Amino acid sequence: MVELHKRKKIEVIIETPARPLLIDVLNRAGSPGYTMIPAIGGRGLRSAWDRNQLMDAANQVIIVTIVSAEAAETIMAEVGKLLEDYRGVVTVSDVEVLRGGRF
Amino acid sequence: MGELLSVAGDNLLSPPILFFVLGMAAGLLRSDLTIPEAVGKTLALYLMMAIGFKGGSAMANGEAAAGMIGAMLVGILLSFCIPVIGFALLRATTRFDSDTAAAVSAHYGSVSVVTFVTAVSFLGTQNVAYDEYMVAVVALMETPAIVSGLLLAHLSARRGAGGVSQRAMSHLVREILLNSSVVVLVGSFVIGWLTGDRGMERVAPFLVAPFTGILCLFLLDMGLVAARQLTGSKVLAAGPLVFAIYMPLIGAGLGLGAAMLVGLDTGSTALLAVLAASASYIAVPAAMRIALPKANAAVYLTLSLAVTFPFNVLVGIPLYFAAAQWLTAPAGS
Repeated sequence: MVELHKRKKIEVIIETPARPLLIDVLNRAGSPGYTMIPAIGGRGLRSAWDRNQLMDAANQVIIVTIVSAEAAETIMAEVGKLLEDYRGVVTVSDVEVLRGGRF
Repeated sequence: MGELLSVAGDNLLSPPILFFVLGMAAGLLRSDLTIPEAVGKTLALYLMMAIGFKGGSAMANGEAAAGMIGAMLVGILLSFCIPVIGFALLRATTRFDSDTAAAVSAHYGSVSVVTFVTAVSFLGTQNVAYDEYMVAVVALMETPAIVSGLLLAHLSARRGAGGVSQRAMSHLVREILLNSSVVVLVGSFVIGWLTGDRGMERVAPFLVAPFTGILCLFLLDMGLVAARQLTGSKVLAAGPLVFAIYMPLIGAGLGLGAAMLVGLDTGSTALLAVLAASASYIAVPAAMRIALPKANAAVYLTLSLAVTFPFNVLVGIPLYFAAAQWLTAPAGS
């Protein structure tokens, strides 16, 4: 039987200009790593959007990180503050990882 | 008047402008035509590299640099002051909150490199010379407007509502000083200056000969992007739309006046007017999203990219050029 470890996965969809601010939050909270995925379009509360070819300012990015429950608390509180100003969505979910020492 | 119309006609029937119109038409008609994102960005880099290098290598030839300091100073001053005028007009004629008004006005103080490149190509077709240091003026005019716009937002923010977030400041400074267009323009200008004629000889087949063709391809892309921005946005109120037309005219007027003040030649006067009239849509939006997140981004993107840019390219450039010709013509002619 493989031993699995319970961790939290946080996914943030956020407008590209705010990316460095979010990464600051992750670094400060001790996130062991993160992955960024470009978003190609979607629809939010206001309107539908497509990836803008020229202006990164209008685009969105998805950032995924896996952390301990304590770090997740800190990150969610900080991201909540960011999302008061910047457009985005944050979710947290329970996941299991194989190598607990890494997260 | 007849001459103005013929110059305007020349402009409208030139390949770059017709490709821009094609792009806009395709975008408005919802064609599936797209230019891959990486290609679009590369074309923009190419254009900045080409005009930066050309300017620098001409400077190495010892071409007249007499007016350079004057042109640089008035460029910085224009970039800093135009947002103040824009802000006052927006607050008086629209319902924008102070953050949105400040962000929009910062776009109009800063410059559009592509509009400048299109104007350079236009001067080429008219066989009108200009001072090569104007490329350096472009780079200098990008930033002061951002500072001015942020000051306006800061001064009019009440009790923490809006204004610049402290957290964003450190990221903002890098965004402002090291944004890609400033790095490529200034860098290519310096490399051109250092390598001079010999350098130019070696890169001319890449940086000079294909220039107009690449401008066509890039303007096709710009037409598509501008049209999609226009169709994607909810229809703006009349106040802001009219602002996006008269603000460049005010800017051009100030640019013409400033050029007369420091005594630039016809070509450079037209270019300074174009710079003062143009609105940024790459560097400033990125800075404003970080610094003034409560400002409405759809407003400034639509106004600068989808209204002012096409206006300047189709109508503004020949108009400002005709005005520059009239102002710099020897008395009595």
